[in-house]
Amino acid sequence: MDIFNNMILGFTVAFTPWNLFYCLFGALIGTLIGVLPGVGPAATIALLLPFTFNVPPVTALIMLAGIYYGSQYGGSTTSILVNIPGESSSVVTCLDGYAMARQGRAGPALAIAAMGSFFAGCVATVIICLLAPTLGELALKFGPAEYFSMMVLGLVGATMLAHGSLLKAIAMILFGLVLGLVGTDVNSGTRRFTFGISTLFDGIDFVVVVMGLFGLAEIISSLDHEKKKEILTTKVSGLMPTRSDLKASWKAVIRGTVLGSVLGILPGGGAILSSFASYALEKRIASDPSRFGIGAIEGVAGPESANNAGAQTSFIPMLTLGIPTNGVMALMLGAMMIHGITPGPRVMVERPDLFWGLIVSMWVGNLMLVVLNLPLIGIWVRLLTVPYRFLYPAIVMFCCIGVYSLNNSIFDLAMATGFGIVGYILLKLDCEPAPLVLGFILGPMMEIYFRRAMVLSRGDFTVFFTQPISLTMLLAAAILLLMNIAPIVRHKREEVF
Amino acid sequence: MRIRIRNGKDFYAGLFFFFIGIVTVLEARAYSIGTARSMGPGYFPILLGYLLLMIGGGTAIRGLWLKGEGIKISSIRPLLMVSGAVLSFAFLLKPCGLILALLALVFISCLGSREFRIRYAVILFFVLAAIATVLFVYVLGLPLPLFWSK
Amino acid sequence: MRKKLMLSLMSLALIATAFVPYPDSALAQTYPTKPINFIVPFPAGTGNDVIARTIGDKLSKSLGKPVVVDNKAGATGAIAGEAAAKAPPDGYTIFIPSTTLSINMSVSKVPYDLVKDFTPVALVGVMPNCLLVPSSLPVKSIKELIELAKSKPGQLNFGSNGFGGAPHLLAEMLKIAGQIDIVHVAYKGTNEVVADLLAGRVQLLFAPLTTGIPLIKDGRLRILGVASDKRSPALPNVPTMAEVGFPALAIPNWYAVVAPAGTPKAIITKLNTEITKIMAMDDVKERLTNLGVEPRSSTPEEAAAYIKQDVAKWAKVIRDSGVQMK
Repeated sequence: MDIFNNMILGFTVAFTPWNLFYCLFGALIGTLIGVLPGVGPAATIALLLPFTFNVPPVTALIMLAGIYYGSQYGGSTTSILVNIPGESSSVVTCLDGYAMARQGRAGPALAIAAMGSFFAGCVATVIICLLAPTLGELALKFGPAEYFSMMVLGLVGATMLAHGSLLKAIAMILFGLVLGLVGTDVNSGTRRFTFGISTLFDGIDFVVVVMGLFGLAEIISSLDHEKKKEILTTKVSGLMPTRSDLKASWKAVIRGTVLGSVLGILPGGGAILSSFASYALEKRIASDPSRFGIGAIEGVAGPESANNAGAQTSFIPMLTLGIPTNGVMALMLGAMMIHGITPGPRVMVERPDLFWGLIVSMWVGNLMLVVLNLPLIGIWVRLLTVPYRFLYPAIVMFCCIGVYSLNNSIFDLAMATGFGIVGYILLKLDCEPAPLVLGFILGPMMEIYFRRAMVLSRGDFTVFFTQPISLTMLLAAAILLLMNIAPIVRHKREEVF
Repeated sequence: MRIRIRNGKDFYAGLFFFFIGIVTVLEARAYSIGTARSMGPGYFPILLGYLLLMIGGGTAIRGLWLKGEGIKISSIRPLLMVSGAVLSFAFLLKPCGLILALLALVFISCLGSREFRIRYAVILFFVLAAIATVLFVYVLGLPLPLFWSK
Repeated sequence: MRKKLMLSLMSLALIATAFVPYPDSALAQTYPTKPINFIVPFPAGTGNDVIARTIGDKLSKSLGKPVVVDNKAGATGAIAGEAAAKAPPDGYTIFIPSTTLSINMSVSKVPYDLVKDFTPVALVGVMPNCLLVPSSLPVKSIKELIELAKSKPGQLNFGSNGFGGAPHLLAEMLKIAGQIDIVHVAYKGTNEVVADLLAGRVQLLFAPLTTGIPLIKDGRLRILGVASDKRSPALPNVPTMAEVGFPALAIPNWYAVVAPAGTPKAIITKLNTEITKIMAMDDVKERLTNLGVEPRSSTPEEAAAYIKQDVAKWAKVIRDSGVQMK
């Protein structure tokens, strides 16, 4: 069968010593990058791009791809250990992952994240092999109306990220939406909320917000509780997940993989939603949703699988259509072009060695990462036993250098401090940061897609309801909203009576 | 008539969001609003601003009615020290170089802990400075000046 | 007594020579004595960046001192522009602006002036924009496109990579020159538009040739014209805007290496000599051509004239089209 031959071709390409070496190298660097808060895969790939000029294109791509998903693996590590998401897709892992770490269960959390990611990576690779061109076409069916409705669904789901007051979660989402609007308006060129500061013309950097809100705020909060020592548990109960952990997680992993694979294909920002969507899904169908936010392993297993699946399938639009789905893909596209390769459906035909070699090496990379990361868990967990008073200045340092490395900007550091203070105050007021982050990411996209849909439909509102995919999403959002509000309404009624 | 704040957390959270809402609306009035069919840059921000005003106000009022917990802050020291550490790093980095900036960062952030001891801070500084130099400057090649520039 | 006087006079003379300014040529011979900062206005991986790294790498070898690429992205090049303009003109800072910085001078207020704040070293590359349409659109030439647009006023959409960018402005000029009514749909970055172009939601797009060429290989998109006055060697069968009667749109994207105004002429000449040699190297030419950029070289004076002309051309485009950033 054709696919079989292609796989063999892919294996022969991927398993040359040079390519294996570069795959490992990329994965290692990627993991390092992912673990370091603030330093992202885009910056690293850009830095290493010149090194790739002197190697054959397949090798270059294998290394760059390794960096990319290596950083996904590494990003979950910091989310779980120190509550700082390395990537936007790791934000959700902070919720239950960090909670598990505080209960001494960092080991199982890290292990499940790695295993779930590996499973998702394998499945996603198979999906790419079998369905790449079809999925590429599916991506084109999503127009601005569909994306807008998807964002609406995402926002409704965002309310589920908090396990406290719904009203405050909504307020945090709105605050996040406003923060996301800071910058230059794409349609009119107007600079909004920039107060004349040129660094803000391109908006507030995601890393700055997250470092402050998740990293610094959490440190201040932990120091505040130092007397009680409830956070500083040094007791670690086992490195590996227990049987009940695995039993609870495997379905979440599968669901997350499916969700991530589908959402990763959408060029307009689907991959970011995959981990959020998985979390919301798990919480919704769990028998006891109140466990979420304080250490439910499904809250780690699902989202981690989802974001790794999404990371892999996001290669599809780039390889089959030549459309990059995010900044990292754009760099890889540039790398391909510098080497004289033009992506598109032709790539599969003209350079099958490249296409299939890359795909097989994705799987190899995932394997290498699991082999690398599982033993590392022991080291990470041991790291957590270091007394907090030594650990937190190190975290502060990594945050500072991470933020500075974005734009070499002191203003960014000042903003991160501001977010840290505000984040701390909000934590004291029982307002959780995760919904804000989702609002921050979705806000500008929602506005852009709505306005674009309006322009394309020449002011016709019904376009959101007449397009089938869009209508489905909106209906799902409405249903989800009702399902979330219903218990509250019932509760209030009981109160009154 | 004395108004008692029953739920400090709700009340102040509500005020905070109300305030954000006000700032948003005030800023957004300067941008053209347009219509729902053809939104200008100001439409979405003003919408969000008004929503924040409503929800913030509602939460604050709820804080007056329903009973809840007050805000507990043991000490303002961690807040001051962590912010101070980051800001001093920020302002010392370019003029004085990475090493001195890290010195300030490590010492000031260590002050945020109740268990501060100079000995620990010094050792920590050396360890972290070494890690930072090797990792960020040599391995990753970030443009961080180690010492003061001429 | 006389001897002492002679000695004092001689020592004074010796000391005085320390205050005599170093002759220009001597300076150029010792230059560079320390690393050179190469400011790039866009993030790593973009055209400016790749060209800067390519040139910088070769320049380090020929000059003997490292050339460090410094990405100062932000505000579509304004942050880098300001930093480069304010850098000391001692030859240790060079900058690689491109068309976007020229356009922005007229579209919004920027803290730099390409003509006044810089002394150009050399033009290094030119890359025209091309006009892309989906192959589902029944037009094979620009003339047919204009006719189609006239028959369907207000129905065709054009995409752009953002308000005030070259694709937006070129399309506005097409509107005026062709007297057609097409609707602007703004996107954040060219890649997003391409998806909608492929799907047929947007009917035309001006995009850099780099982006365009790979997309026509599988036939989904067509390039109707090249926004330049010379045909592109990569697409010899595609007419230019000048040929089809729209000379006002013949403004290609350019890349140039410049230094802050006041940099000594000897240093500029030395840099120019080295860069001209670099641009003639085969591997450099190949890398740029793969990117879609036509490598160029020039004298500093030619570069200066080119940039000045370009700023004026875009100023006229912006005046005529009425596009202004608030």
